[in-house]
Amino acid sequence: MKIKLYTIIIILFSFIILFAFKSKETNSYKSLYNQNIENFNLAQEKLLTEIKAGNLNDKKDIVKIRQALNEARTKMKFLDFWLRYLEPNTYKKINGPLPVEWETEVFEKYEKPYRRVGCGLTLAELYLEEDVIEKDTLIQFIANSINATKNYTNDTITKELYNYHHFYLCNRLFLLNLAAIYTTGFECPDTSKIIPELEAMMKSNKQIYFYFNQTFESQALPNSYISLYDSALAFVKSQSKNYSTFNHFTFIQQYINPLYAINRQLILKHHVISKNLIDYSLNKNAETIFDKTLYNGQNAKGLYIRVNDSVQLSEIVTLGKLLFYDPILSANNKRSCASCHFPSQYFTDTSNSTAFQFDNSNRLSRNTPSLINVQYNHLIMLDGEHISLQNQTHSVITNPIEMASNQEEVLKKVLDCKDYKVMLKKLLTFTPQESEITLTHITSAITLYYSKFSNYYSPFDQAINQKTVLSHDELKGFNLFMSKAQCATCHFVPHFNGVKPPYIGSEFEVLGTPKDKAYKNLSEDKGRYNINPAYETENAFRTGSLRNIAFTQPYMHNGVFSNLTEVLDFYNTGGGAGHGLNVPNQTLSSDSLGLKPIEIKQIIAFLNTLTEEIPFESAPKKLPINKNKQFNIRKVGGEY
Amino acid sequence: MMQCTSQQKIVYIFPDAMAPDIQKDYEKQCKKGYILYQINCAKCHTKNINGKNIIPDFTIEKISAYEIRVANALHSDSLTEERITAEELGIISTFFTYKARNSSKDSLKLLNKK
Ligand code: HEC
Ligand code: HEC
Ligand code: HEC
Repeated sequence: MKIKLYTIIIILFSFIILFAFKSKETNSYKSLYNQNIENFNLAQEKLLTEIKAGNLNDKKDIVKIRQALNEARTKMKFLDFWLRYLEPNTYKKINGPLPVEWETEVFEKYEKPYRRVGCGLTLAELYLEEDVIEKDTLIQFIANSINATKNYTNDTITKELYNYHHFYLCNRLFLLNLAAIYTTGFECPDTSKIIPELEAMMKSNKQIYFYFNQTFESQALPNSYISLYDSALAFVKSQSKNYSTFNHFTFIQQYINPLYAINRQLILKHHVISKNLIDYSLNKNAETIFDKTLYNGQNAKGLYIRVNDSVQLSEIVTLGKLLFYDPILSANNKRSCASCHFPSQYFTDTSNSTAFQFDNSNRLSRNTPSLINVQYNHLIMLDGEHISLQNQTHSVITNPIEMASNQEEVLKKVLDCKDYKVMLKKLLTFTPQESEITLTHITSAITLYYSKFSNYYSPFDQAINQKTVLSHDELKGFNLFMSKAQCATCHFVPHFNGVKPPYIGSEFEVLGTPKDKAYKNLSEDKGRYNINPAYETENAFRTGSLRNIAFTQPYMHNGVFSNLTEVLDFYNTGGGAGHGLNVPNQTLSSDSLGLKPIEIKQIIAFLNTLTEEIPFESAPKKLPINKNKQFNIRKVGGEY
Repeated sequence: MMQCTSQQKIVYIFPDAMAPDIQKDYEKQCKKGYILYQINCAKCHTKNINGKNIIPDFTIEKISAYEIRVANALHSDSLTEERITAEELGIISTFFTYKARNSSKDSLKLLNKK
């Protein structure tokens, strides 16, 4: 009897030891995760207690609350690596950059945009700056964040931590954010904390790497990665703590971009599989962050999506080019795409603020944008009206004030040209799902044609990929762009447009763009509001790419500014609101940036390095002959 | 119920309440969806049973949700944005919505009548 009891006790004991040992051995990575979550929760609870107990009119209490907030932020940063990737929507409750956000992510493009309310530490910190602080609001920000943090201990999320796949994808997002937002103050209102927070986060991530390597030995990060990461951390330590004198360029060029390249090789090597929609647009084959194929914005091939043969592709492009210049697509045979998007001027129109309407006397309300790099937007047009390039092409052809034609008329006129008919019949064989030639065969050829000019690189890209060097002023300009000038909080690396990691949505911002250079009135164009009416979207426009900006004047949706100095003055004085216009929902800070004239010159010098080396082509000599003679007097490119 | 057959004797079933011209439109979509299925999905999903090619009965919710792209390892490699558009996935779901179920008596009955 006694012996039996002993054996049971011994067996039990060895089980306990075995378990304790086992969990330590195999789950050290997961234990770190749990530990970090717990620490973050404690810090948040402490913050909540401070807020509840504090007197918000007493400076001393506010100081205490700020301290607790800082502490919680630091603890959150130790988790950022996981939180952001594993459950991006919940993350916005913990660290939402905006009180209200209208989401339109690529996998929801077909649905109505929806309103998402942000909460959490960044918003609480911003709220502390306001003149009147309501205790309940502050409590709400933190209480919601605490609730959201609880989600991260659910099995549905923590089960991911038992395999290595998520790790390399978390790391990819982490590296992209290091390049695009962590150094810019995008989510850190107190700019003096940006670099110290960066350093702390990078340091704590070393722990994550350490425990990952211990737990997943066969998929461990190699020494080449770890030692480069250590150098990156040493670099950050050696740098200025002021984000405006921090060397953003070298940080990305020497460390982050090469780390990204290694991580990407590991993703391929270990056959990393994503089950997360956050990875929707990212391309495993892009070797660096500054590869044009980093993410997939638009399907430039349209109907020909599965054509990959270079001969077939060039057949499509040949047709697309003719159509781009052919005014037969318009009702009066006098207007083509090239009437407004001049292929010799980066596919924009540098001599008019806004182009003529179809009637050739009134003006359109918007400036003609460049078509280069437009495929790297998720939503098309400055108000995001279209979800695809082909829809856009269809719409401009049939818009009564632009080309004023219609589907039947265009198809008939095009197919009545023998050359076009022959080409399109051939292209029909590339699309087995289609039983006849449609307008989409035409629009898809056009989008593929102009998109081919988006495949080129600029001196900036060459330099960041370590192939050339930039001048002192150009580098200074980039570093200012990434810091004090605040440009990079909206124009994100690598396209300098409103698409930020993980590159699944286009952002719209309210700048208070004026109607006239004298800032007498706000532009009357309501922008995004026309598509999705809401307080936040009034006068909001999509953040455009700054590539080739030196050659795409005039600037802004209405072409109000004729040169970059005017644009920089606009920003330096706080946009529309800073210039005295009434823009209650402006998302651009209305404070002055305090940029000195030399700094403005440097930023412009940097912007000039974004000019891509594009081999432009001359116009076609002639257009296909139509059955109907009256159409054959039409001119290549149209008449106005 | 209305019946109609197309390539490979696929039977589509449309609700009676659907106007005939609308049915025609849908049938066109279904045929397109069938070809898109053949191009993008069949090599993994069509099973050959006793010499007959059997297309599975997927429910629409499973396909129209964008989650389909990352539903499993093979999908995340082969159903990328570069291979198939969201619109095309929508057309494939239309195909599955109106394709008669393999096991359903309706479809057998209709096939037998032919
Ligand atoms: C009458 C002048 C005019 C003509 C003709 C014209 N466009 Fe445009 N295009 C514009 C303007 C103005 C805009 C900006 C409209 C907006 O944002 O709402 C624009 C926007 C675009 C965009 C979206 C750019 C972006 O950044 O989202 C694309 C793509 C485009 N046009 C392609 C074409 C093609 C292809 C054709 C010929 C089929 C064409 N355009 C004909 C004036 C024109
Ligand atoms: C709050 C977000 C935000 C910030 C900060 C910001 N931009 Fe912009 N930028 C935009 C948006 C949105 C547009 C389009 C506005 C419009 O069309 O009215 C734009 C347009 C521009 C344009 C004109 C693009 C064109 O093709 O017409 C330039 C140039 C530009 N920004 C440069 C900068 C520079 C340089 C900085 C930093 C000094 C900066 N931006 C900061 C959001 C921002
Ligand atoms: C490379 C092979 C492959 C291709 C191509 C592929 N699938 Fe799959 N699919 C799978 C595998 C493997 C599974 C999971 C195992 C299973 O349920 O059969 C799966 C599962 C599914 C499921 C879930 C089945 C269920 O009952 O849960 C649906 C729905 C589906 N696929 C639809 C599609 C569609 C639609 C396409 C084409 C657009 C497609 N698949 C293309 C391999 C593939």
